[in-house]
Amino acid sequence: MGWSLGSNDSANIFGTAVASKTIRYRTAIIIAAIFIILGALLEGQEGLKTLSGLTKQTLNTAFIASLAAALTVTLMTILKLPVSTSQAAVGAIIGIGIMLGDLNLSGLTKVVLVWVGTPTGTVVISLILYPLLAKLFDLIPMNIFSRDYVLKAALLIAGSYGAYSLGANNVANVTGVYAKVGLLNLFQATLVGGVSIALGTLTFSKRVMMTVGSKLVKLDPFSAFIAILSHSIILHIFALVGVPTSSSQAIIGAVLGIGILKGIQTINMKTLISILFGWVGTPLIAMLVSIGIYALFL
Amino acid sequence: MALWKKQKAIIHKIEEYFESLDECAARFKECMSSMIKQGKPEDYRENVRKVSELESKADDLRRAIEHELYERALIPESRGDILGLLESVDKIPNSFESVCYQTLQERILFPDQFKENFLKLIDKNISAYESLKEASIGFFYNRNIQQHLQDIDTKESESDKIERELIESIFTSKLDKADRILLKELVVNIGNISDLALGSADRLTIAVIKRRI
Repeated sequence: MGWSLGSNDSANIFGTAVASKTIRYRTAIIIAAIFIILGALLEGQEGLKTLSGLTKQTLNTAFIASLAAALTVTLMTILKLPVSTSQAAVGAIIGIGIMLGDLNLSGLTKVVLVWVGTPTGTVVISLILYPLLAKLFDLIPMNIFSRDYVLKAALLIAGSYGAYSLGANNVANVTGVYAKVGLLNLFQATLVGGVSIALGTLTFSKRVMMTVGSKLVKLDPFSAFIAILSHSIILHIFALVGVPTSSSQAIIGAVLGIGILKGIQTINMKTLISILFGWVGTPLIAMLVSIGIYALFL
Repeated sequence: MALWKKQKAIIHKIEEYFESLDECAARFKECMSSMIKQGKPEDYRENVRKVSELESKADDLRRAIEHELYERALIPESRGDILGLLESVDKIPNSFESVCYQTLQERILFPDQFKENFLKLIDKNISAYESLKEASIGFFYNRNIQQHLQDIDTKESESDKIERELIESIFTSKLDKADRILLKELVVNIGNISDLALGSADRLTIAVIKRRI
């Protein structure tokens, strides 16, 4: 599960920079791996608490939920679609909740509100950050070489922050169910989760990274920096609130915000449909997969 | 700090490159003015050779800059823009050289009634190059270069106008047909310098738009 999350979501952080060859793939994945683990360890515990509170779990159901979410995300990764691990994880847990006849609806409402708040939040943040930082950037006298170095450094810093937020926000998707059943304590859950996400980033992230970075939207380095920063802020905020959310949808919202500012269309109908699919389709598939596995084996 | 020093070194090399182009432009002007005013292009073989030598020097400097750019970790898109710009600017000293050789090798003589317009045409085209130089250096320092880009456009149009007048007066003169064609070709090749400057200016315009945030 963590592996598939890492292989899919690190594209949102370093996709643009790697696809445009601004940052080398190797550098990107090493930095991402380190900061994902740090984020998971230092601030991943709130999300773990929320996710493990969604439904009662046994060791077997915890494993099924985890497997169902992992299968859903891996399938989407093979199809080269940026997919939300959070939405798959929640979908799978709901599936188990349905089968057990036990679902914490108030926790679920919080989760769904955060999902809707993720892309809309990043639209707002990028709308505020872009003009502010652009003005600041223009104030610094730089030749074009220094300008490039500053942008490259900004992308690296925002990417590191993004990886940290991703680790903090999404670690619950990976080991939340295990923490619930007591298989892992909170520290172990964040460590195992963080390391497994990092492993996914290190071994299998290139494919989605190239798709996100080169095929969906082409961003100039400054816009990419704003998009990643907005994404990371939202993920960090929701990590503190304790709700794992979609890194992919966070980045899509940020890119949309930049598109609004620049007066260009950065998002097409297809992308909007994929957001809605993330809210409904991904959790639905994961839910059905977990129900299927549950019915088959338990 | 080492990074800033390295960047300064590249900028310094680029400035050195444009200084060598300036020298080449100055020699070109001197050489062509002498050939137009004095006649006997064969007497200026040494001056033409000097223009050619400066063109080669500019070539070497450009290659050194390109080499350095490949080694420096610039954002790839910037690297492409800069290399493209340098390649495009570099066609101008080539034109200086080929116009000089054309005049020398074809032993072109300038009838009195055309001399003034030929000198004007050369001045206008050198001036277009000078605006391009200002724009290019401004671009490297991330300054506003809009006015320089506009100047290049204006100068190119003015050069076109002089070209058209010259060609018409050449073909309505009593010169024999072969001489008319030779002179016309030379007019077109001199005018090509500002066309090249405009081509580079277009590249610069796109590079500036790409960097606008």
